[in-house]
Amino acid sequence: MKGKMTKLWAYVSIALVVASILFLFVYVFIRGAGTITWEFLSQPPKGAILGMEGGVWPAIVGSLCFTAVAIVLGGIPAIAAALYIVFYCENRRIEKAFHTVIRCISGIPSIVLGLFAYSFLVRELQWGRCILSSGVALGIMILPFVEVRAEKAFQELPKAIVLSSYALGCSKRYTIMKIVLPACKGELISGLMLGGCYAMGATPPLIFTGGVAYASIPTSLMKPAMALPLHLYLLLAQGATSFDMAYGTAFVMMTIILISNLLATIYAARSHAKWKA
Amino acid sequence: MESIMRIENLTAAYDKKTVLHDISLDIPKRGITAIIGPSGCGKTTLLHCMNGMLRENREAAVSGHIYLGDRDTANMPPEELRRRVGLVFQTPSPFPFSIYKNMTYGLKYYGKTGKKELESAVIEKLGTVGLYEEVKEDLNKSALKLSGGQQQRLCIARALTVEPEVLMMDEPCSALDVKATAVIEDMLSEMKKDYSIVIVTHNIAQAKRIADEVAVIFDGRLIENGSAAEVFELPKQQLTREFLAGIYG
Amino acid sequence: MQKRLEKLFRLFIGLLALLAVVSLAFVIFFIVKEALPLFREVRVGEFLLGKRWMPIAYVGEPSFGIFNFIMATLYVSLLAMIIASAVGIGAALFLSCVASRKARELLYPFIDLLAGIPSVIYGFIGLVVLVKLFMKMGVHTGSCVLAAAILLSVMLLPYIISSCSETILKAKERYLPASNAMGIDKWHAIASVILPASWGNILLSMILAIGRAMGETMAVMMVIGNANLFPTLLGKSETIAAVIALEMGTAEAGSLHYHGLYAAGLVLMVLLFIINAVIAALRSRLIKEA
Repeated sequence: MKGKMTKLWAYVSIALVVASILFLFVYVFIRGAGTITWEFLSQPPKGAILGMEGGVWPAIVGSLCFTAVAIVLGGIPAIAAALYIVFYCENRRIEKAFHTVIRCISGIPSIVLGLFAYSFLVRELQWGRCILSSGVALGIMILPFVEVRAEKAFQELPKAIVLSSYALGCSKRYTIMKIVLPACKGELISGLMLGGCYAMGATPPLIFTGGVAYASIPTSLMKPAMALPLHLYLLLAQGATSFDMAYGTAFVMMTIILISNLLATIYAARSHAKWKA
Repeated sequence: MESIMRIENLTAAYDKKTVLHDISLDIPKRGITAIIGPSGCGKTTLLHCMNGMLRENREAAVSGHIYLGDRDTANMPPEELRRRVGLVFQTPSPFPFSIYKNMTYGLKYYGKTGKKELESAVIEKLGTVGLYEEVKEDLNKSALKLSGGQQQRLCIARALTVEPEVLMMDEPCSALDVKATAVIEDMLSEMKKDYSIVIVTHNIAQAKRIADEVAVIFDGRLIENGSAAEVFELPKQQLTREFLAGIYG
Repeated sequence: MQKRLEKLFRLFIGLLALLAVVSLAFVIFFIVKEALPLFREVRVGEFLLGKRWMPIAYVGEPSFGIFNFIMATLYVSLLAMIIASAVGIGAALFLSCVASRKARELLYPFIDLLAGIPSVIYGFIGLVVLVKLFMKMGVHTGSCVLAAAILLSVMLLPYIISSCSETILKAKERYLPASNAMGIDKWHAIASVILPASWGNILLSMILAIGRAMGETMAVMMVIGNANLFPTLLGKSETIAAVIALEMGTAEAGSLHYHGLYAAGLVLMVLLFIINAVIAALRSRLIKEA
């Protein structure tokens, strides 16, 4: 009896999960596909209620800018922290402290990161609302995400290979540059790409730090820009009369994120397979 | 007999658990010294002490002296010690690049970049381990595609590229089949004319086949050492006799 | 030469790694710094337990009480966690005990897709599907706590499923063969041995999920109705994150309202740090037991 109930629970649950995933994707893609035209992709938003006509081109470019800045500012320290913990840290306590710090950062809600960036970067440092201010907040947001993946990749590298390099008398730097990083390239790049996807979908850190309702294509990191998720939110918040443009924006965002996700997974799997052979 | 390494009163502990007790041992120049003993007796730790690898382990504490020639290795930078005392691990551990790049990895680190110089070193060392004839057509093939025995010989050749004075091997054949083992044993017997080799093994038959000198370690203590003939034919200690008779695994 | 390079490299890596620590310190410092001015005017107890949030007073005194927001944050997160666990643990059971290795390798990345969807899209779909549904069922305007919790639970699913199925898989490999050898039905063994053995780690991932849910902003904010009310299942409410996101744009920098929002952010951050500490304590206890 207990067994049968459990079995039923398992089957119903998985059916629910699969159904909701299919629903989400099919819904957005079917509803959004109709809006996608060349004009929608290549034009800035227009209309009396902004965005009801025209397109999302500046938001696409803006989102890519925010994401790129986040990957650079968050990804590099993340990989360095992972290298430090795995290869340099000689004290258990320091290692533990590092892990606690990383976990705390991952626990900070993204809206609080937005508050931080506003107070420190926008006001205190007077950078103003700009891509860089948001990029820092997004970078901090993805730092733990990338660090965890990088550290896992480094730990999974066969110990004997690293030790063999030390046994030849080679320094850690040489070992890291010539063996560790090349061997973990797949995981690292896919980690950065997935981190980028995460940053691209995040709205709260942008709201008051660098994302705006309307801007032309950004020409400098010190200027504000549009972003897809913020654009979608504003379309809805303005009380738009039709959801067509919102569906289109969601479609574009989902497509970009889905494709990058897919590429990252395939890339990691391929380089991993090569490594195992 | 001239010795190349001298271990004096070496004691090593992990996390306060002592794994090596007061070991003193001479490693002769040229020839094969086999360190034998049941698994878990501290053989690997001894090797890792001898080339400073244990310094990478945060929990390890070492006392006593190890001399290379007449220099105390404690005062040597780890990189220098490791270059001069090579170590090959139990499982073949080729780097995930081509055979050629595996061989030039260490050389490049020490600043050798001339193409001719690199090539001749690669050919020479691969020749020493008898791998050159087998792979000369595809030096650019991934080292991971070689067979297990070939990989292990590549690792030995790779260790030789930096011209170590002592070559240590930790159970180099335990992951290999009988045939690959025989190839490596033949190769070692050939190499001992020029190299000082230390091999750790729990395979008594293997030690009998190739060793000149034997040291028996039991539970972290050196209980007997001497020439292979002495130790195998006329063991002085009861424990050695029992171990050779196969009582301990 | 090599030595100097090594030293430089080590320094470089160390400094970059330190950047992680520095960024955490800076975030905490600036949130606390901007929150403090509020506590000069409003007592902490009043702030945490007060129910009136009137940062700009048109009549009478301004008032800063975030009790309802805190309760809404906890309520909606807890509810979402419960829904997500009910479905997630079941799905994890399927993945670890029914699905073949191949099916598992196919389903994992498929489920992970959920984690890739931006929260604003969840909010959007919640708005056009869930909220409409609730409206049809008679909930006034359709926006309610339950809608937010359902939406959040879908967002939590991938995390719960992946960590639970990993745990259950391990327990299965450990206990199922012995149970099979005794001729006990597989599902009975799953219900009475494997699942109980996995509870510790499952609980851990459930708490982790609450943490995730509490920091979530967009999706919740778009369907919860945003009214300063004590949370009830079908009523409107407003979470801490939503208050900040909605009011930050209009709060004049340096005003008490502005500092109040930072104080709310501080409370949210502290709540999450507490959850993190609980998880760390639980985890070390679980490791000791194992």
